[in-house]
Amino acid sequence: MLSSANVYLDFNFTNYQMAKQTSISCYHCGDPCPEQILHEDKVFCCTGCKQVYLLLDENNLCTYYDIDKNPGIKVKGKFRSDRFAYLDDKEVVTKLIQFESPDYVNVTFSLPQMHCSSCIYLLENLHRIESGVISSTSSFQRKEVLVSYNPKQISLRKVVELLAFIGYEPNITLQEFRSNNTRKKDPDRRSKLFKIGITGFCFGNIMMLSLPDYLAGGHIAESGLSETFVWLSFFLSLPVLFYGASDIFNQAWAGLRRGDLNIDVPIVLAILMTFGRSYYEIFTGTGTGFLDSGTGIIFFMIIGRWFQGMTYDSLEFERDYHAYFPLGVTAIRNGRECNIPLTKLLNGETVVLRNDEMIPADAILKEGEALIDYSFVSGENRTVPVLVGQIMYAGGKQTGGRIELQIIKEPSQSYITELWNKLSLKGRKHEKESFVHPWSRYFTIVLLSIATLTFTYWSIYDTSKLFPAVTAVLIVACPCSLLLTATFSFGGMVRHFGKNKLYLKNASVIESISTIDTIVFDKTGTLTESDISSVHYEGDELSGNEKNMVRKVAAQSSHTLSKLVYASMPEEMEKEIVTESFEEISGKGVSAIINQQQIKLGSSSYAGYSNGVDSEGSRVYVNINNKSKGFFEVGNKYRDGFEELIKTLSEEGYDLHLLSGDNDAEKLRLSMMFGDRMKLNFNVNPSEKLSYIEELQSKGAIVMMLGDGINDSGALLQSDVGIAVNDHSSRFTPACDAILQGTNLKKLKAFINYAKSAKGMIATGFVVSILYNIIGLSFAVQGLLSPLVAAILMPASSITLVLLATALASWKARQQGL
Amino acid sequence: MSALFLLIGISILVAGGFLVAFLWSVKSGQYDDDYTPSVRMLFDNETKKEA
Repeated sequence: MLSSANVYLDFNFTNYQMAKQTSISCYHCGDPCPEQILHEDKVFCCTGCKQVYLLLDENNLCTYYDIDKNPGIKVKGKFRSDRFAYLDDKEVVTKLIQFESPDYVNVTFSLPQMHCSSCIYLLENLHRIESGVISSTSSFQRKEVLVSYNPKQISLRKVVELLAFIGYEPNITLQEFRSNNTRKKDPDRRSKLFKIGITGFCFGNIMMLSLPDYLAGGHIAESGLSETFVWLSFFLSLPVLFYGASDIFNQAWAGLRRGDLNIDVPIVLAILMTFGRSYYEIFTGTGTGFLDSGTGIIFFMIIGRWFQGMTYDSLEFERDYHAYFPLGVTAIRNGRECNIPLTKLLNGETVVLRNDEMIPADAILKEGEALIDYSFVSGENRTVPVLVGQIMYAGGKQTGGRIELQIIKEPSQSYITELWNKLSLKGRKHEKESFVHPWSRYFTIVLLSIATLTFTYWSIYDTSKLFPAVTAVLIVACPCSLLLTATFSFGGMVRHFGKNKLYLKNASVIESISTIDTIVFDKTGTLTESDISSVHYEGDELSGNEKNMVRKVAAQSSHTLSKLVYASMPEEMEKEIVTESFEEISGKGVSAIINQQQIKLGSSSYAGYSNGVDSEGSRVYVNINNKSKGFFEVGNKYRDGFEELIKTLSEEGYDLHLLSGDNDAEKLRLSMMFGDRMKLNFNVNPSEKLSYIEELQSKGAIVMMLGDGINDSGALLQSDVGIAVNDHSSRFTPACDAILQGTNLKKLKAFINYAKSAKGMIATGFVVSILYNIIGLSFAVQGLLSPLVAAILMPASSITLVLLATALASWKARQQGL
Repeated sequence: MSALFLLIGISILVAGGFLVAFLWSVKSGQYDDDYTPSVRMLFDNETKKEA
């Protein structure tokens, strides 16, 4: 049933595969190999990849490479053995694992890196690499693996280290730790299936039992047979009414308590009428009732809800800042470095950070050269140098070498925590009502008027027809077909959005998207690509030593381009490199002396590159010992098709804004690109972003916000539609309504148009359902609605509408090129 | 014609058997993941490489 909806998320890896066709690609991960590391006839891009291959080869697991091409995941950075030392902590272990006995432990890890069948193969064969692992079962849709291991043979830490070594580092963050690892196993899913199964069974059998009566024209000759059929139907209908339909009753009741006449209320009215009149007829022996239609309607409706409720298990839309912090930190205790859980970090302790590690709590720098990247917190695409004794804030990332810092605030009181609490308290979204609800209200009013008219008419002319006619009107004119159209249209649309890598939190986001008139973009990471693969080097080949030196110099520059160059260079065997002198000339470049060699990075004139072109600040020229070596080209910083998108959006009359936490260095370029099509704002801090959205909304604008970092989180929550733009599904996304893969930002206009077509689609379905209702009502008002007419009319209308809704959703998607 | 009563009873029993089978399969988790098993069944059971 509905297995066609088997959308799985191939978020980030397909575009990767395309980019690397040109040069020789690594046998393991498929990345291009600048330096070819050979083993037998296979080429690897780095020793990390080769190591993984050797391990798999040794354990005869090379099928991994046969199922999908270059399935491996590059292990980034060096693997430090003590990184997971905090997993030796008893308290941490008990919080993470699900089941424990002396020789059997169950633990589930979330592995956002899973992307292909090979991943499943490898993850389910862990026991062949490590004998302490008893079994491992992966779930591709949830991107999880359940590992059972024998704690006498292997520790949790060893299991995690093994996973990290083969490239699947589990996502163990503070959020998972706090939620006590109670994973949303979706208990709802099973109970919904139970309801569908039981309702389907009862509906089918009641239908079968009703048929003889219809075929015999209501006169079954055999004595007792008709009664048997009727009473069997009666007993079969009870589980449907009391169990299958319970969700519908609950929602109607919840609506009524809020004083809101939602669509479930008239549906409940119709259900009660159908079952009430049928039971009355059965008990009084006056007829057979409408139990087949009644159970059928409930069956279709719960299937519709199931279809609409199928969203993305592996994506998390409610993340808060806890998900951003790792669980372990390296602290210095008793003069030794040890890895401890973040929750046990005390005020005043000394913490060690290495490249790309995060500051766990507000702290003061004690030792080392700190260059902090706050881009995720503030949106500023620039590293900030911090001097010894200065404060650094939680959430920043160190770029460069090892530093030591002293914690001055507990993690729970850090700046980022307070910022988050302030923003998320303020930016609560108000639930908006679906447009289906007012329609159903009109529908109910019309329906009740027809019922009253019928009542008055028959009370004057023929009171014996009063009861059958009025109940028949209420039975036949159930707004369930409206609900069915809406659930199946929205459900189908969610899937079409998903195919185009826009993952909606739920179906009501579609309606919100269709109403927007203002779009606000964040710059860093949203409009610009955060992917480092866009940097490449051209010119004379650099030796390993030269690369190390260039990398070192680039690391120390605070310029965006240097930072990108630094980030693009793989970490080599790092010999201790001492910078003897360092000088940065703003707007030109940096110069440093390392091992008596002068390294210059910067503009063409600065690096003495005579025939160089400064193509709008996208190249970093390299000069070593007064010899021009070549340049790094930082390609296409803005996302593909972005200019085109802005142009068409502004032509369609959308109000466009740009909010950037960055300085206005790019202002000229951006305003040249867009003129007055887009309002540009720079140096905006996170709470200003939030109030900017509030201000737009107070002027009546309905705002869509696209952002990526924790600095946008307040704005994303405050806006009517908050979309988190992301390059890799494994990256952190702040709480939002939808997650969009960065490469598909260019389809934004098609997405909006598609969402806007929803209303038309549902209206079409509504018109069809009204036609059915008119036919049904014409029977009903005359008191002529026989169970046979109802049994044909009601399922027929449901099925037509379901088919119509799904077909329209696909057709409109194709029309928008989605 | 009383055979009809018996047949109805049997038919409901048979259908009930399928219902129980379905409920059991849901309960035992067969519907929790409808993608991974389809891939898993394609993996061969390789024997250990002889040294």
